[in-house]
Amino acid sequence: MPVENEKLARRVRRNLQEVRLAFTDIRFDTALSALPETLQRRAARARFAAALAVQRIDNDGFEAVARQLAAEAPAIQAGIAALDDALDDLAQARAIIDAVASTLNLVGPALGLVGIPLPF
Amino acid sequence: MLGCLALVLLPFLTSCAARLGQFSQFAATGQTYAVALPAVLDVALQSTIDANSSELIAGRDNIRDRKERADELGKSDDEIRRRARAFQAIKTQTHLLGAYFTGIAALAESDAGAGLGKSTADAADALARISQDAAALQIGTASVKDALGEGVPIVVAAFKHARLEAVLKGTAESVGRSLDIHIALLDRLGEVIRGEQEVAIRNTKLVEIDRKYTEDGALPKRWKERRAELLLQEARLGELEEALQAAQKLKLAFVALVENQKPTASLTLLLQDVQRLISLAERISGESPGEGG
Repeated sequence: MPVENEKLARRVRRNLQEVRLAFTDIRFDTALSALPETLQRRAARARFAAALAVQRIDNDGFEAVARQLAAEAPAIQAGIAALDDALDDLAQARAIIDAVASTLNLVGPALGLVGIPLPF
Repeated sequence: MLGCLALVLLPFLTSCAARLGQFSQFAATGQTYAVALPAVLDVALQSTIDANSSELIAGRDNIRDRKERADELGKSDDEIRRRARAFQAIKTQTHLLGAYFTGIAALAESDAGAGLGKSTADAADALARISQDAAALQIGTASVKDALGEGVPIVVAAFKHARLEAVLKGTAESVGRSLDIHIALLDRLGEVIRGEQEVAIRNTKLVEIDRKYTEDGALPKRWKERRAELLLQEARLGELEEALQAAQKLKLAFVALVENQKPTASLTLLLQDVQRLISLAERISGESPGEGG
């Protein structure tokens, strides 16, 4: 949502929220109950419309947030994969060295490779 | 020789360890934040439903037409479902960010250095059993086995450091932007939770306290206590403000990590904010104002 629209939406939301809160004030409530039934009905509709409009403005904002976060997901997923790769590399290095050690332990004595001079 | 090597490498090792510690701390904070946010989203949704229900009940007496009532209820339900879907999508992305922090922590705190060092020393042992020459090999005054055992963790620390820096470089813009979005999100959530709770609490107060007071007749038994409860609940909504700064501090810590600076916001304080966010979210959801309307 463009910044100007965002600002306008927030201003409208604040005003609508004030309308919602006005209905919860005992002074407003008492004055309203003294009015004819038709006006009370119109007021109830206005209250509902204000509450629904606030919900819609908020929902537009939350959906925009979800979209923006989703747009950043591929790069973050790539980062997670790179971190996994690094951990795999470390695990693999350990597995290779462990395998070398156990091979030397098993194969060396079995083939009588004990006491041989190093080739360097 | 090993002693000389250690002396040469000491400054590098010290900075390496400090940097890995910085990664680790930042990752721990990020993980905590990623767990806290879904709870805050749940509270926000609950607050919206509470406020909406209290308003539907309050308006019900004035709207007599069944079709109109059904229409109001249906529209409200649609918007609540829409919000639940948006929150679910945000939770999914937050879990992804959480997985990123977990990955950083796993690599920064991996004990692969020690494990690899031991494996290498074991391999040297095995070689020494085969060859007397190998057993006698030395680097300086240290045996090959000891030298390898101590040297490998240095190499591993450098490897972890390099890979973490590479990941940070590759993701800095996206993670930075994500944290900016989270700052805006928490700001919006604060407004929503505060606003909806305010509506729900005040509606409840209007029905249980205010109208009873203005009407003739005796006041309910717990009128005084209930009035205090509801007014205090409303006053506590202000506490949200501070706790909702958590994402902002997380961003500051991230910028410090990217720029390899000392974090401006203490990570310990940041963690406290995140914990407060969780406990506030839990408390608010446990203090549902009641039916209202």
